[in-house]
Amino acid sequence: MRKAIAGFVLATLAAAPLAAQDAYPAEGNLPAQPQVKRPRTPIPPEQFDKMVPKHPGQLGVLAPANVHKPRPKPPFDLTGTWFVDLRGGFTDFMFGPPYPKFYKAGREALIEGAKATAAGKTYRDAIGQCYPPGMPMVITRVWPQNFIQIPDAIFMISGFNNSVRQIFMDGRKHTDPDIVVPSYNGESIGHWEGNTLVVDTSYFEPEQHYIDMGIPISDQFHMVERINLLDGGKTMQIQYIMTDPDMWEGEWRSTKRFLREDNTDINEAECILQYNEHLPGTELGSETAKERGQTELKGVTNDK
Amino acid sequence: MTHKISRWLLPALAFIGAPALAHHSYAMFDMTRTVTLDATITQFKWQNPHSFIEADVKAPEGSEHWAIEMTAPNNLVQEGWKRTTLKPGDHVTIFVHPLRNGDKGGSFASVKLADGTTLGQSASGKKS
Repeated sequence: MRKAIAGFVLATLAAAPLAAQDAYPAEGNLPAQPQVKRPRTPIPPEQFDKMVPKHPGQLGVLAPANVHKPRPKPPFDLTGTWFVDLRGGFTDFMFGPPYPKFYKAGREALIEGAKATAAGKTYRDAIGQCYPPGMPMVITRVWPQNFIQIPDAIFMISGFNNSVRQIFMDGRKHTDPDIVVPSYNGESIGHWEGNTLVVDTSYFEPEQHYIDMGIPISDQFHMVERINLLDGGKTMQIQYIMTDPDMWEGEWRSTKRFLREDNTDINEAECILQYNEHLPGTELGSETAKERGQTELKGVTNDK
Repeated sequence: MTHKISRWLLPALAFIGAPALAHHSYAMFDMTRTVTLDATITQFKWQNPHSFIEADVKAPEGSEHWAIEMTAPNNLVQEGWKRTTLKPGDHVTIFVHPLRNGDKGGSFASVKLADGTTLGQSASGKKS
């Protein structure tokens, strides 16, 4: 009997996980709670050791021996919650214009993006489809950004998607390109030049990774950030120097400012693709709206 | 009432109408137009990165179902919103900027609750 109930439960859960609870009788007539048994097979130490990712010869940035290694005192501490300074205009969340001289793909993006906007359509709606914005766009997405600075690293956590970026400050070199895993935030190595923090980032994942309105990058994309604190530590200024020999000529430079915001924190914010059906501004949401058909309600223009 | 709110919204629209082209491209919404919805709430989801409303809407030929996109709760709170502000079955008036293609969806502008309270959303242009 117990096996039969367990079988029923498993079959129901597998067939319709969300409806499973409705299939049960009311409280008081519930079936007996099944006893859960899981076989335990010991993992040999050498096999377990291989399960833990490692980079031999390089202490992790949270290893106490690395954190507490004697180092010069840094010129400033970026620890805090920062918010992109858009007081000059909302479009400041973008990194251009000015733009460098783009090759074919970048020019196409500028032209087709403008056409899509004029037609009331999305263009390269990667973030709307829950692809990570990646650097540099994640930092200007109008969500607070946490910076946590320790002696040998700086952690950036975005309020959007809780995207995590590590800036290694322990003197390590970039990872061997033959083993590094490309990522949307790239691999960042920082060092101090006087009162400036200089961060060198490489190894970006180019798939569905765009800057501004759908401007693509290649796996050759490279970014240098020169970071300073201004206004007694209330403003963080970052100069971005971006190169991509496959996509544009020379350097794409842009400077952004961020304001220290002490009265906020970041939240958990997950992009859940299935929820997009409720958001008509996304591709999935617009498809769902299309299925509902045209509205009879036309409204009024705002300037009347 | 709609006209009054529209005027009230103009500065906000100037702020959020142009940008947001990467994800929730406001290009899909007609930010120059406001539609008044006589709505019965079927779902109000309070969540990041965007809250949303699903509602049955009274139309000349019966009822329509609409999805209405909002900004993030952190911004809505600043306009007086709570997680419990709307619940299924509530009968309210919702003002939205509709999809430009005429489908049944829009970007939330403001709501008039059953008790007469009016709530907007922060002009944060919150992007996700």
